[in-house]
Amino acid sequence: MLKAAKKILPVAALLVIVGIFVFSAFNEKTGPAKKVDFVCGSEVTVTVFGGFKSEEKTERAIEEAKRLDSFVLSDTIPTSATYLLNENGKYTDKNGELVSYIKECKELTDKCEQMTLLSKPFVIAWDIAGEGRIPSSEEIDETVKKADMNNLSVVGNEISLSNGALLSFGAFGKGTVCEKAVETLKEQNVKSAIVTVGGTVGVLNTAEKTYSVGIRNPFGGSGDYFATVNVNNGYLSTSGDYEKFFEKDGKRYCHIFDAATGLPVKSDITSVTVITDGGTKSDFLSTAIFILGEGGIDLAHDMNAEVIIVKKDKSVIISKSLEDKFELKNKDFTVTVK
Amino acid sequence: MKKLFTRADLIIAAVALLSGLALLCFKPSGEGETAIIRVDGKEYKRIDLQSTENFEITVNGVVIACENKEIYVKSSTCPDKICVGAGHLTKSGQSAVCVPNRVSVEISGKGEGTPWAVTG
Repeated sequence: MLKAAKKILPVAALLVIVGIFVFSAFNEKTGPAKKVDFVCGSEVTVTVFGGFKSEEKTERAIEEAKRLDSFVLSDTIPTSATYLLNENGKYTDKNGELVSYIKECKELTDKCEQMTLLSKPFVIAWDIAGEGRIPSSEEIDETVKKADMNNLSVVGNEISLSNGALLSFGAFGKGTVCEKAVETLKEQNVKSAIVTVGGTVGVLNTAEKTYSVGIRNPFGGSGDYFATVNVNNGYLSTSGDYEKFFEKDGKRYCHIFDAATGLPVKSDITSVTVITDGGTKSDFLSTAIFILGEGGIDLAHDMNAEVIIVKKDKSVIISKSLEDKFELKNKDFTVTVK
Repeated sequence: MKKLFTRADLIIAAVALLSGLALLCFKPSGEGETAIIRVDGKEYKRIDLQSTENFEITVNGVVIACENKEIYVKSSTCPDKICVGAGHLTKSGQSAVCVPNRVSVEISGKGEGTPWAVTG
């Protein structure tokens, strides 16, 4: 018996070693399953690590993201509930998806009175999607009235808009779609994945493992990052004035508006990144803090979120809880902890 | 005391190890040298950056050029030109995306020490 064991053990050990070799070679070859598409006017990527039928799972997640955008959230796609509401001033939401989403977002915007779900009049008046223009002060006053949240009412399944208000999920949509795609992966028992929708990143992990996520360098090209954060589970969103803006007479006007004044936000901040447990929440908070300025950090901390603020002078403020996870990669920036 | 390995064991082990090594050697060359051009999210062209000649192609109004093994978006019909602003792609994981024309270029794989995604 002992003799047999002595004979088999070394062979078994060798087989295991060889097995590991073969497995690692195979694993490198297949790699993670990645799928790319376009949703919410942005690039969407879904990457699933390990597991079976990963390709199919990434496809399901992208289908769900597309469905949510084109049937509920988009204000530019004619099939969506939001688009139909804007067209007709009212909408009967049979399955209640838009109603519950409006409620979720309203709870968030109630925390920041400079934010509104009715920001579309600003985007139109300032021609943000086009060349950009500066409206007259009367016109700006008009848009502020239109953007008042009291113009949106939800009674049961009936949604209605008044006083020329138009609904838009510009500040939340990508985060929500990212969260939905991650949820779809979770439902399919995916253990480890990364989803990006434009600048919003969702990280899913069931183990202790972390993934490093880059924070875009607002002064560099689109692939350039100045720091990384190790994230185990959660969502990262960034709002800034460095990509979408227009210039008139040497002045820069960004695409994020203060709902109280109707003006594009002017700030010494160039980008705000928020890391938290939900995509809608991270997207909301990054926009809110960009509008509120440094003082907005308290709002984020109250809501259990972490923040990275980049100012125009390349000074960076990070939440204390990020200290161990944050890694500066570019020496032009200076970091302080708050 | 009997030897731990018999001659037969050693032969089996050698064959197994060699085949394992062979598999490792013959796996596709390391990533990070391959650029993937996607249209509508679907792979359109794959370029081995180490062996390619300089070239220029136009897809959906996006002009993609490769010079000295570096790929970049040279020009585009889109209004925002964010794709052109991405500059030359040199490291794995870097990408240039043109949302209006639904075209993207990406250097596949993930290089050592580079992040999995970028928020911004």
